[in-house]
Amino acid sequence: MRDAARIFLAASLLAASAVAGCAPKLPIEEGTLVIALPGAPTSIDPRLATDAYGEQILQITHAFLVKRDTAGNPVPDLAESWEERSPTEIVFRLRKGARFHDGREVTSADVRYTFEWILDPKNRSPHRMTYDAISRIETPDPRTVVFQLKEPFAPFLVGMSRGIVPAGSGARGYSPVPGAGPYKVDDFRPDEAISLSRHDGYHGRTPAIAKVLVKFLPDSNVRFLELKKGSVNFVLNGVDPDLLPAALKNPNLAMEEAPGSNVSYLGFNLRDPILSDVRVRRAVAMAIDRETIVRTIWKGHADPADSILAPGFWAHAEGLPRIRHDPAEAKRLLDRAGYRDPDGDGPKPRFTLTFKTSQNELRRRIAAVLQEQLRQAGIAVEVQSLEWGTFFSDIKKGNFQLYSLTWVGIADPDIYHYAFHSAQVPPDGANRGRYANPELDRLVLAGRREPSRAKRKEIYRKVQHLLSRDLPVFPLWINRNLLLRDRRLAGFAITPDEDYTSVKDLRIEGRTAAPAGKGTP
Amino acid sequence: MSERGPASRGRIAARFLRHRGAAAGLAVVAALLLVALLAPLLSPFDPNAQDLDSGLSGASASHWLGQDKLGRDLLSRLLHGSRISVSVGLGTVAVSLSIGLLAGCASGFYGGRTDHLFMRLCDVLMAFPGILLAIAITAVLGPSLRNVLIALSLLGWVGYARLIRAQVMKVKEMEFVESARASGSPPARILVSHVLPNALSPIIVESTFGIARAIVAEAGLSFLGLGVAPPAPSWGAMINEGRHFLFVAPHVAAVPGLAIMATVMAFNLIGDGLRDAMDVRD
Repeated sequence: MRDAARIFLAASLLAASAVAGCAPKLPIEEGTLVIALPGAPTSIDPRLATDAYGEQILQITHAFLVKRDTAGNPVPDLAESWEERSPTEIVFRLRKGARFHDGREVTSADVRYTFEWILDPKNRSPHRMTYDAISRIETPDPRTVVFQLKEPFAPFLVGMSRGIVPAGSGARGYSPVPGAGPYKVDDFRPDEAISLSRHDGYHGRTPAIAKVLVKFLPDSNVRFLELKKGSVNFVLNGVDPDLLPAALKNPNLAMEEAPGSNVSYLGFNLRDPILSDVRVRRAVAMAIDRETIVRTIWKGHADPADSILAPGFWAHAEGLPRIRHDPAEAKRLLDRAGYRDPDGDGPKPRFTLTFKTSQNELRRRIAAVLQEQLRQAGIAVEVQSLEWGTFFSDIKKGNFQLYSLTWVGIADPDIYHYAFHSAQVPPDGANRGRYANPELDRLVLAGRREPSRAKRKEIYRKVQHLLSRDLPVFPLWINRNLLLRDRRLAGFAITPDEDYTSVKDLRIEGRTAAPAGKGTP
Repeated sequence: MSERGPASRGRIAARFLRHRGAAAGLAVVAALLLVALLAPLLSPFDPNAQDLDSGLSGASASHWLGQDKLGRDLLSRLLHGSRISVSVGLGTVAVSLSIGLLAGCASGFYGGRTDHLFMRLCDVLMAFPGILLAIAITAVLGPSLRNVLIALSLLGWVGYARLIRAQVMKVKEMEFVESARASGSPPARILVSHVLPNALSPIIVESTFGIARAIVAEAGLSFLGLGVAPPAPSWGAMINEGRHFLFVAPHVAAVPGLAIMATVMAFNLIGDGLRDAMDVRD
């Protein structure tokens, strides 16, 4: 009997060591980089993609006429140079030798095709309005593209960061359209992952990493576990701040933090009888303790905002009045606005507001905090957490009192036209709170026609002061960008707007600590 | 099966209490009902009072079960959450059973076109996947306790109706019903005094399991953000809130998870005990 036990033990040990010896190598050990995105893109066609995940993949697979540097300035990509012959005529000179993934050379005809396809109403591109200023596209030779504009349009150049596709490419649903970016798509499994490999004909410096796998992992616990295990090597803003210390216990992981530009804000409905009074909006803002939220919910990885433009952005105005947390002053403002507390500090509120939010757990958490903070100023808040489609459609319809969302990827101060001009009420624009101020309308129209950046900066300084006085939205905080990556990865430049262009600069450096549990024999 | 009097009820009670699991289940449910009733008195803190700086703290002298991400006392939330679970469990069964009783009796006792109508309606409703329909309903109506009750009862009654119909059809053919009919009792009286009392056992057993199912369904809806509106401390919502911190503060999700498990198990044990005691065969 004892012999049998010994034989069994020996056999088990042998089997266990065999399994350990054959343990599959992690992708990074075989030269493949694995990136996790917190969601799946709905499209990876540059003419149709609108969500952040789609845009981020396109930044790896497609080349644009111009790209943006970390300060938001246009820099050459497919266009080696450009010139404004007049405020309504912009000429791009394409670089020589840029090739699509299928080997064809990128010519002016491809650029024209891409933008004409977007502008063709029957293609229903969501980006059509972005290029509405274009009246004609001319291609005098294969390396020159001339854009004729209907009127001067300052944000034009920023809008040129759109992936160029080969002439003749139809929209192909989920199947990828070739680009001229540093990586080409080998396999796209919607809702699961996309496999990329190095594009050897890339016009820039050849990427050091041959293969990249982008996994779509919506669950934060799964991202966290895969990072710890080493089966994911790169997560930008996808790990809950509370989990960072636990993640960094793993000797193979490193964290980088950099300023961000995604601004979360509280939106007010200005058509609402209570919220149409600026004193009430100011009181709501003063009742919110952003410092505490930043310290506790975001663990310090965010900064209170004073504008929907981030402080590092060129058009951000200096010296904007900062709204401090002051519940006593909030109560005084509400008293003056005629909303007295019926029973002092008792349970009866001055009034009740409905706060709409999505079902995202983080959003619900923030809603619960705002609810509690406003309660202390005598404002009852009913939180409605709705399914995303219902939530967003209610917001667009103006069917809300309070809501919170985040502006992602603001590339030009022309956002003020889109979000606050009185004619930009949804579905055409994003003036969801129905703000209307003739002075602001005049400024944002002037801003989009003004070619001089210095003059635009001045215009948008006025706009930001006006908005911090009228408070149609209350900018809450700006999250910092947090990159968790394998310690061996180097070379990625984090931009404020979470741009993935720099994935091409990543390289895998020397070896590091052996993963836990694998000793040397 | 014969008509049962008080003596038989006593025998059932004795048999039920001899069933160890059932007795334990009964004790847990009794404690749960007491907690739900006295939650405001028993809770050491306001279940919604936040203390952001002590978010995710573990158990301590003042917070026996620790605190959630927003620093709310988990024990107080657990105690208050029992009210939601009990309300949904009992409420859903009460509503479903009432509708089921009416439909089932009408179908089983009168038969004919009434039966046909109700049973086809049941067939149609049973073709819907239950929890998906509940998700759709709460997504449309918005999250609230009332809407959860509506969503769960809308399909919940179908099972009871079919069960009651089958029971009534079986009992109404029995001899004592025949003799009551022969002695000239009006049909309504026969149904209420002779048929129903003899058809109840499986219905009582089924209702006990139904309470457990409703509690799990409410927790599921709240987990998805479709149950009661925040900040109400529904156990399902509490699990969802804690899910993100499983690796740094497992107690936040484990506490409500264990509460759901204990409650559902208690109701199921009672159901098992009742089934054995009443000698109900599936």
